Amino acid sequence: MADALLSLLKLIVTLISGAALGLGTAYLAMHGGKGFGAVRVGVWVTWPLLGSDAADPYARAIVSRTGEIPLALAEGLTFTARTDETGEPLVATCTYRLSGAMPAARTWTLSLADPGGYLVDNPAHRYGFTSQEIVRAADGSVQIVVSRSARAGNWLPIGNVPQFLLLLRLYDTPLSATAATLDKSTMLSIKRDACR
Amino acid sequence: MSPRSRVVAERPWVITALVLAAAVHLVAVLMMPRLAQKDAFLRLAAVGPINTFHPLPRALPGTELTPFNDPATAMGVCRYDLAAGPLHVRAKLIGDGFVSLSFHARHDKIFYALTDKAAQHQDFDIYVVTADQLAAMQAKDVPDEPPKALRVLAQERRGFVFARALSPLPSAYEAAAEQIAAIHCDIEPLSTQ
Repeated sequence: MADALLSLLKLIVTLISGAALGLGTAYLAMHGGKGFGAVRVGVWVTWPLLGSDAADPYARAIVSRTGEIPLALAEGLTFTARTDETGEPLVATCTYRLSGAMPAARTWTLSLADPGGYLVDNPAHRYGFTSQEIVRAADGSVQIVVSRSARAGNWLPIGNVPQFLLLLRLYDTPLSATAATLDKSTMLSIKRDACR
Repeated sequence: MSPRSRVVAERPWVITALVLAAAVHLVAVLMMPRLAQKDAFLRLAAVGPINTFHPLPRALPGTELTPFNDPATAMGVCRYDLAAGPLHVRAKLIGDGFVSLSFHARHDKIFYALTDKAAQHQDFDIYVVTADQLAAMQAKDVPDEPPKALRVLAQERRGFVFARALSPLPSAYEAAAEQIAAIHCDIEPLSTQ
């Protein structure tokens, strides 16, 4: 009798812990990244397969949970940065300098969003830059300052959020098929400047 | 008993728990697209009836229906259900800016996309069809005469077509919105074609 009770108890513990472990790991997988197939270029990450019919089950689960509409591979690529060069999260109390070259694309846009991917209000009503409105240096390189307080030049305001992410979208890019061959030197770097 | 030997003694139970965990994990991940209450298809229902093209309001803080929008694009959507016939998507391309259409199955899979660069004669002319509808259309085709419109095979009966037009400068947003407003989508029952 005692044995039977013990076995029943073990069975219950086994079922509960198995289900909890399965659901827990599924939850973590769906809240972490965007599935397999991530391509990292410096601080930037993109998921080229997200925009194709080869998207893996994790990517599809994540997209259906967030409700986002990813760019199709034929439209372009979206790169996301959540950290600066040292791996620290992007926070509103710091100033960041983005500089460098840009990968080949017909057009690119850079925008700022909260960690959930939504635009953040700011007094300047500026939410991003496009390749056509950016002011370039004489050598064609790009410099952008991301900060809460206004700056001269290409200034992207942060707005009222503790943390944020940066989204770089390349439209009609020849890189689509070969994102894996991207080089860090052809992307904007993100360096942290002063913090309050 | 040490913790280690306890685990060894209970190995069948541990293995059972792990196998169960793996099964639950897989089912949860695979079911997510079907169980999600707030996926793009459902969120976009707010803009209006199905089988009609709707320009979306400009992406601004606090008004976005979906996350991860590009504030530099004007957008529009046509949610469709192919039950009554193929979906005809048409658009005249107005300028020379970036315009794209992406075709999404109901459960978050992109099965086709194209940009203005792939457009012929400055317009998009596309039918979204099921396998049966494609066969019916092909049966009516005139031999040796290629069909005028592109035909895209949908993987599911329901889905949505998403349109983006880039506004390279803030002052060009109205033009991008006009481009989006120039897109149409309608169900055309096979008998009328």
